[in-house]
Amino acid sequence: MQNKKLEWQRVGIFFLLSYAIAYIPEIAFGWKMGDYENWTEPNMLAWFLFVTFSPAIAVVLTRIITKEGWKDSFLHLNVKGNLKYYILSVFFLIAFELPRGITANLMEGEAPFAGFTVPKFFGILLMTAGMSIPLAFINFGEELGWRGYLYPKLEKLIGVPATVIIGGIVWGLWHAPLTVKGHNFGTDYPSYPYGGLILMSLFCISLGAFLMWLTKKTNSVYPASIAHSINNNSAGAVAYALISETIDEDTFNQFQHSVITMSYMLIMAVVFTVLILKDSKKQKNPAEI
Amino acid sequence: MKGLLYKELMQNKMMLFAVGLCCIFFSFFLGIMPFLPFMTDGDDLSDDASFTVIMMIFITVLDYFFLLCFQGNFFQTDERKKWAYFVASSPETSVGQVRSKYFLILICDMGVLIWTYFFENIANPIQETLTGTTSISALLFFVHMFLSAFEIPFMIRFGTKGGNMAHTVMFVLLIAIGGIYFLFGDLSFFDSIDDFYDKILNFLHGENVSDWLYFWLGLFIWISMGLYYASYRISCKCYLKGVEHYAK
Repeated sequence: MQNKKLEWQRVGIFFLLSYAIAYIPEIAFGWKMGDYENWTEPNMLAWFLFVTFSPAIAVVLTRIITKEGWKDSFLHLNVKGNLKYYILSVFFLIAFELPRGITANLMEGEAPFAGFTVPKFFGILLMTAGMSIPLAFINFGEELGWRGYLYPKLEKLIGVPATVIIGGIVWGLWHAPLTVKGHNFGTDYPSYPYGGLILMSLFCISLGAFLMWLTKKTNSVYPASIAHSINNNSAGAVAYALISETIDEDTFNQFQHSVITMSYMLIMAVVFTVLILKDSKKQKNPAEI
Repeated sequence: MKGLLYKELMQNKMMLFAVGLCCIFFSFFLGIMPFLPFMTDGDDLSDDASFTVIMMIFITVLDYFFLLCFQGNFFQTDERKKWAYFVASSPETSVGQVRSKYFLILICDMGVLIWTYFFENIANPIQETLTGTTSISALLFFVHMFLSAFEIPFMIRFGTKGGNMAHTVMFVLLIAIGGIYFLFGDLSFFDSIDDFYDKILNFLHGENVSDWLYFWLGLFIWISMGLYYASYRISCKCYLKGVEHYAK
């Protein structure tokens, strides 16, 4: 009982710190700079650096404040025996982006796949996959916070399915200042801004399930960091490799496209939640293996 | 492995400190100093985005170059027969020793990449330009990996002297290939310096990039990774043969 209370306290402190460190500068930018386009000006970069690493900073502070130490920090590489999961972290989400690119073509393109060439397509896929591996350090901060700290704690307290949902919502709403300013879906959609916030949370629930599964399988946050990096870089890159040049980026309805592609993202969430549950069951009853 | 890696970090801490200091000093000296108001004498350098981008690319290349120059010393510190035979007989074996060296170089490579990313984020507000050189830095990460994949097995098989020879041959070859290209190749890319700057900016923004360039760059990244691994396997095999070349 005492342990549970302490764990809830840790979750609460982490939650408050990660949100405060990210929200305070983001809201200040929003107030000062207006729409997201203005945020990408050079003088904002140093602040974004701080925001990106806010979950990691929150983990460090929470562990110090609550005197938790560094046990179960998921900081080991654990490559031995887990190479297949590292490979999966590189290629799974790239493969997952392909139907999104195809859907975008069919939705918007007057001449679908115009400008598509095989060398450009494979070149961009290889470049994105390769370069996202060392660039995973950019997403390491988020992964250390969400998959390396919040998810394992929530899993112990509320179980796997609730962790996937609540963890995803917490992660999705952490992006709220950016989503409201139009970073994820623009601002020109009917249910703005609530639809964007709901969609972002659903997206984070789906992706979070896969990243949680990867982290649990390898006992390390690095594969999840790589997969997160691939996800961030491949969304634009695969679209660039696949989407017809006739599609105008400014008129492309990102929100509508995301609503359509969300259907199979949610299937991914269900599949990986079931896989995590199966693994947990196996761990509880090793005789069944 | 953890123990050997810790030994590497402790043994080479001064060298790592030197590489870090060089990177930090030159980054600030070239990337921030020229943009400070009292240095520009009233001229606003931020109007010339291409100058800033070229400067940032130059800094990034320089950072990786420092690492390439210094990394030979990581091997020199362990060139003792007694140590080599001791580690080969330990549970870690020579494979652990070689792996720790390859891992140390990867850590340094990552360190330079992280530094260039952080520096870009710090410098861009002062330069008042978005340079976007992190992608160039990530590409150079693989170039460094590619060059190291050739250099390290020579260092291990023939000692640092042999490795330095390979180093020199590699640079001479690169300069020779560059020289031949400048003598006989297509130089339209360098027609005017402004055009050249614009082409680099276009490349960074993904504009007017040939489809085949994407393909070859993508392939190069994966070949570099494959070669680095192959180089590690070769080095493991020839570690004990290389011990015979050690002076002490």
